[in-house]
This record gives sequence, structure tokens and C-alpha cells, in this order.
Amino acid sequence: MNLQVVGAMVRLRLLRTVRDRGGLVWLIVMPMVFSYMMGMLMGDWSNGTPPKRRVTVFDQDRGPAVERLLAPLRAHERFEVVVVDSAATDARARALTDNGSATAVLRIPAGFSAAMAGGAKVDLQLTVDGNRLSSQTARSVIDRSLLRMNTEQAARSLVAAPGTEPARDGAAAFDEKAFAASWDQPRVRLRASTLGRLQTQDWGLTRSAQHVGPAYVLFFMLMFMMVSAKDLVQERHDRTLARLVISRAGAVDLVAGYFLGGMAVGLVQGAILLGMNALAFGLDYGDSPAALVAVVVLFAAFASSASILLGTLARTGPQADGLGSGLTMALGAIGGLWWPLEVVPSFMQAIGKALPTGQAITVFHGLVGRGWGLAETLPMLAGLALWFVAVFALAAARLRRQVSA
Amino acid sequence: MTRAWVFARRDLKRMAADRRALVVNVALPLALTAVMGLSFGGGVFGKKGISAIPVAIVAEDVPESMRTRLLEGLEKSGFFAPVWADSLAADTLVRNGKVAAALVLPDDPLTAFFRADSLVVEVWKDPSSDIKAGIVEEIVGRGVLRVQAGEAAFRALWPDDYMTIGADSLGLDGLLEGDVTDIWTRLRDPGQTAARERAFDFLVRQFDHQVALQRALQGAAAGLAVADKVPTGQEEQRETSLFDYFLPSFAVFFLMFAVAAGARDLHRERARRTLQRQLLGPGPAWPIVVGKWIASVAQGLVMLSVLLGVGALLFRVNLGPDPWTLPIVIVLTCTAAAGFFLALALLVSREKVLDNLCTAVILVSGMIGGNFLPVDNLPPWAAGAGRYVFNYWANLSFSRVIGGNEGLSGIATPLLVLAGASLVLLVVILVLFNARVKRGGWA
Repeated sequence: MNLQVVGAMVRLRLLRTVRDRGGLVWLIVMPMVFSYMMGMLMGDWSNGTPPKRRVTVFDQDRGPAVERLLAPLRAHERFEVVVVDSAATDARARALTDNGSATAVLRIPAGFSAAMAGGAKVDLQLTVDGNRLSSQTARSVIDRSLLRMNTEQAARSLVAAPGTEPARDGAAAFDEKAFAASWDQPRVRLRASTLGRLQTQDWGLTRSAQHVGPAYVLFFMLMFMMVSAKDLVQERHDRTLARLVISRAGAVDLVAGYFLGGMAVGLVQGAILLGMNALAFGLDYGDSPAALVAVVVLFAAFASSASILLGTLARTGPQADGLGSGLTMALGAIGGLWWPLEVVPSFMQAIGKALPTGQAITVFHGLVGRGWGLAETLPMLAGLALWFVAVFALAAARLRRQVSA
Repeated sequence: MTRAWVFARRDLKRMAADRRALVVNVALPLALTAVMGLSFGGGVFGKKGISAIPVAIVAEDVPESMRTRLLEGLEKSGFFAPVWADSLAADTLVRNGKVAAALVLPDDPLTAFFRADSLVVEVWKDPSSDIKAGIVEEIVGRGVLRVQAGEAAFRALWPDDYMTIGADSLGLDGLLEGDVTDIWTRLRDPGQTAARERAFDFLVRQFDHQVALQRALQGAAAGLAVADKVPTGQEEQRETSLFDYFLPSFAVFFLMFAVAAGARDLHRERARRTLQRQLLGPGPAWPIVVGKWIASVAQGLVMLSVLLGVGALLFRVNLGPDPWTLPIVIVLTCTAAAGFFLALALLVSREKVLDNLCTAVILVSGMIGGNFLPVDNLPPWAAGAGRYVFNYWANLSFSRVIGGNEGLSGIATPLLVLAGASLVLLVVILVLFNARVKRGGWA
């Protein structure tokens, strides 16, 4: 192997990438913009406290029980309660929720306060949008408040009338203070915790800061490599490869030059994007730099090999472009770069985790969430290495054949 | 107009003959759509959505009979795939991602419950399984809330029984071991101690109170009827899934790439000098660009129809309440898309610039226009900005028709916007093309 030729090819590839301003936009700017905007869309990375969501209440009861019911909602920092003294149809409530005027609409019929005082049962109507977290939270708060009122009313119904002996399953009195104390400080409690590196309640990989960042770094590394396959197609068409072989370069040198050049671009891009994500968005990649480096290097190696393979398979530049974009999107979608694999059925999870994208993002999840190191990530890293070897072997064989022909 | 059709037919023939373009514009989106369908859609491929959640149950001191019943109940619910584990094993299972969460009951929970000791039910969550672990936490939380409500009522009604449990606690030791028969036999044992007798009386009282309380709670004073965002009435029979959103939104996303590729054709023809030769022909110049517009629209129509048709056939995606609403949305989406990308093509000088511009515009408008997140779920800033891109209105129309089963009257506003945008953009491309021809910009 002629190291001088290989080195020159790598240097040229890097120089050409740096000098192409349009390319730089795709290399660095768009991935960051995309990560930031997807992060914003998914809910975090926004500055300051989130705006209060409106819960519209159509109150036809206007009794004392309504205020008790709404008190927890009013006290909640995420909600603004707007009470309207009129009725609303199902369609109106749905429209208010759908058009975003309200995150939830509660309709309280006349007779609610009477029902809470032992009168006939009534049904409240709550219109929500289960796709919105704020809507679900409003539902939980209202549900809890109504449960408290229903429980209190039900318990009071067991109290014997004044001056009479309570029945065997009845009670002499209802201790309001004991009820409030027990409700506020329950004996049976739920404690939820996240196991792993970051044992905080609100942490999870569906949070953009932890999933979207690494996922889009991998996605754009692969995308950039795949769409640059058209350069190889162009060089084949221009007979640049043939001319190189006539000079000093052998087929092995060309394979090595193309592969290492692509890998160098991928590594530079990956390092810059991971660094910028860490600096700009405070992303944290775990406690194992060795595993982090291993996954980025192996992924860049795979992407570079895949780019050469595509460049040897495609007949025209636009074909390489289209196939490259399509394959990147397919690998990104199935491998869990677009959405976490946990939301898809188990057979799709198995397929996703077998792909290089799935293996790489699983390593990132393990590093960030579970504090994994090289030992724990070894199966996925081995899988990535296997993909790299297989794709590289195919790509090298095809490129050598085309160069020799 | 005849010349415009001739140009359009020529472009369409060329597109149909280009098998590689067909692969990129139809086969790849179709493959990706199938991936999404398999991930979210169900349809003829069976069960959809999140599969049974693997959960570890840690309840080391719970009697065997109760364990079995708990496991059976969780398995039968279909939501969970429970496994029994001790706390160490559960911790390892969660940390390795083998289960989404572990439900950890406190030591000797029954005795602690009857002794009025504090009880903490724990949920250990896998950091990589935020959604599934969140579902477990939500369900357990609801159960605990019901217990808390019952506790509060019990304390308020029978404070003496509640407070004296501790004094009688000795009688409970070992009483709750084994299954119901064992407990009953122990309670009925004639040789039992005084403490056991007190325990028996206590448990009977507890039982009476709990039954009375449960009966009272069943007749709740007020119910809460929750209407979530699913179709009502007749439409309740229809299954909905995330695929109802993903299919049209990704179809629109791919449509933008395909139509942008068609718009690039204008620059390619200029580079090959075929455009200049067409301009030298007799008659006005506008049929050339209108022909391109018609070809792009036709290409988009085929693409969207194939994708939505396959979605309906394989994944039972709803095609709307009537046979005309969805086709109208498809047509207006294609006319707006074709106009938009041809206008972009006429604004830039070179194919490479157009290439980069189109990809950037597609990605950004995809984000703010609801191609990656449902339009209804976009944050206000994105929804506000999204109103200025055509795909926002297309996505809104598709989601209302496919997700909400709404007819033309329900999507009048987005359809009017799409129709208006299509018309304005068509006029813009005619004006821009003619101006460029007059200036000699295509020479």
C-alpha cells in the first residue's frame, strides 16, 4: 500500500469538504438546527418555565362544591382555570380542545353541589386530548380532586343519624381533620425512581436532550456519507479512478484512500456535533470515553464503507443521492433514530437493534442512561464491527473490480 | 394549453421510463411507509402499538397464593408480561433493560398494612424505557390513590379501630401465611391464644368496615365522563393508530422531495440546452413551465395515491368519510407543492443551489409544518410559523380526514388555504418564468 497516495487522498477529501461551504451547512449547521428544533418540538430545551395551559370550565352548577373541585387545579403551576357561566355542547368542547384554546374542557352540570350533599348522582364531562401531556395532567388533577370529594361524600353516608346507634358497619361520626390529614399525608405512598446513572424523576430517553441529540448526530453522519456517494459515481464517470491507477495508485490504495477519507470526515463531523451538543445543550455522554470513542469510530467506519458501496452500485449521481437519502431514512427509522424503539412492537425492536443504527443508538442509551462502559456495550460494538467488516468487504471488492476493469 | 399538455406528457413519459426515479420516488417511500405501518399500524399484520410491558414484581413476603393471583391477573390484563424477582434480581433486570420497570412491594405488606405502619410501594424505572415505565407508574399510581382514598375515609370514620391495630399486632404474626384456607383454619383453631382471638375480632371488624366503605364508594355522587380525542358514535368502531398520522405526514414529506426533484429538471434541461431549444419554438413560453407544473402534480398524485392506497389495504388506514374528500386534499396538496418548488427553482440560478435550498426548506418546513409531529401537538411557536408553509395545511387536512374522519365541511379552512396557495403560486411561476425568458435568463 502506498501510504503517500492514501494520505493525499484523505487530505484532499478533508480539504474538499471544508472548502465546500454548501457541504459545511449539511455537515454541521443543519444537524444542529435539526437537533435544536426537534428538541424544541419535543418539549424541552426551551428556556424558562413553560406557559400555563388553559382549562376551560363550563359551570352550570355555581355551587360551593365547584370551587372545592377546582381548587387543586387552580393551585397547579401549569394551569390557568377559566370558568364560564354557560353550557357547551360536545362539539364546542371538542373544538376548543382541538384548536388549542384549551388543553381540557370540563363541563359541570347543575346539581353537582347537591349531589355532593347527598342528592342525585350527576356526571361531569371532561374533554381532553390524550396526545397532550398537559391534557393528561389536567385529567389526573381533576380525577384526584373528584375522587377526594366522592370518597368524603361516600364516607359521610355511613355516619349514623344524630342520636341513633350506628349500625354494625356504620360509624358514629366523620372526622374531617383526620380525613384531610390522611389525604395530605397518606400512609401508603408511591415512590418512583429511575435506575441508572441519572436517578432523577424526570429523566428519560424520550426527552429530546438525551435521545434526539445523539440520534441526529448518528443520522446526519450517515446521511452526509451516503449522499457523498455521488462524488464517487462522478469520479467513475469522469474516469478519474482510471487515471489515478495509471499514475501511482493501486486498487488497494484507492480503496484505503476512499475509506479513510470518508471515515476522517465522519469522525470530524461526529466529534464536532457531539461537542457542540454538549456545549450548547449540556448533553452528557456517560462515564466511558472509551466506549463513546469506540461507537463513534465504528459507526463512522460503517458509514464510510456504506458510502463506497453505494458509490460503486449507483449508476448516476442523482440515483446515488436518492438511494442514499432513502437508505439513511430507512435505517434511521427502523433503527430507532427517529423514535425510541420501545414504542414499536417487539419484532420491530429486534430488527431495529440488529441494524447498525439500532446498535449505535443503543450504545448511546446505555452510556448516557445506564452508565455502561466497554464491557456492557461490547455486544453492540461487536455487532457494529460485524456490519462494518461485511459492508467494507463488499465495497472494497466492488471498487477494486471497477478500478481494475 | 395543448402545448402545455404535450410538454407535461413528455415529462411524465420520461419519469415513467426512469426506473431509478421510480424506485426513489415510489418504492423507497413505500418501503419506509411499510416500516412505519409495521411499527405502529397493525392492520393485516395483527397487533399494533406497544406490546405487553415486561415488569418485575418484587414482593418477597407476600403469601404464595397471593403472588400467583397477582401474576395471573397482570398476565391476563394483556398490558404486562410480569416476572417474579427478588429485589437484587429486579434491580439488575431494570438496569439491563430486560424489564421496563419493577414494582416493589414493601416487606411483609399485609402485616404492615394491618398494623397501620407506613407503606411505600416503589416503581423502579428503566431510563431507556421512559414510555413503558411511565405507563407502569401511572397504573400503579392510580391503584395507590384508590388505597389512599379508602385509608383516609377509614381513619375519618373509625379512628378507634385504626389506632388500636398496633396494640393487637402481636396476634397477626404468622396469621396471614399461606392461602385463604390456611388463614381461615388458623383463625378457627379452637386452641388459639387470646391475642389471636383479638386479631380475629380485629380482622372481622376491618372486613366489615372495608366492605361497607366499598359499597358506599361504588355509589359515587359524581362521575367523570372523559371524552378523549377519538371519533365518536359510529366511528368508535374504527381503529386508530399513530400510523394514521405517520402515513400522510411522511407521504407529504416524500412528495416534497419528489416534486423538488421535478423542479430541478428545469435547471437540468437548461444545462443540457434542451430548454433553450424549446424556447426557440413557435408560440408563447408559458406552456413549458405549465407543462412542468402539470407533470409534477401528476407525479405527486400517483405517489400520494399509491402510498395512501397501500396504507388502506395493508394497514387499514381510514380514507375519510366519503370518496371525494381525500382525493380533493391530495389534488390540492400536489398543486400547492408543485407550485412552491417550481417557484423556488425559478428564483435560483443553478441546480446545485436549488438542491441545497430544497433540502433545507423541506427539512425545516417538515419540522414546523407537522411532518414529524402531529400539527395539533406542535408548540405554539412552531404552529404559528407553520401556517406560512403549505405542508402545514396539507398535514392538517390529512389528519382531520384520516384521523378525525372529517368531511369537506370540517376542513374548509385548510382546503381554502391550499387552493389559494396553489393559485397564487401558479401565477407566481408564470410571472417569474416569463420575466426570466424576457430577460434572457435561460439563455
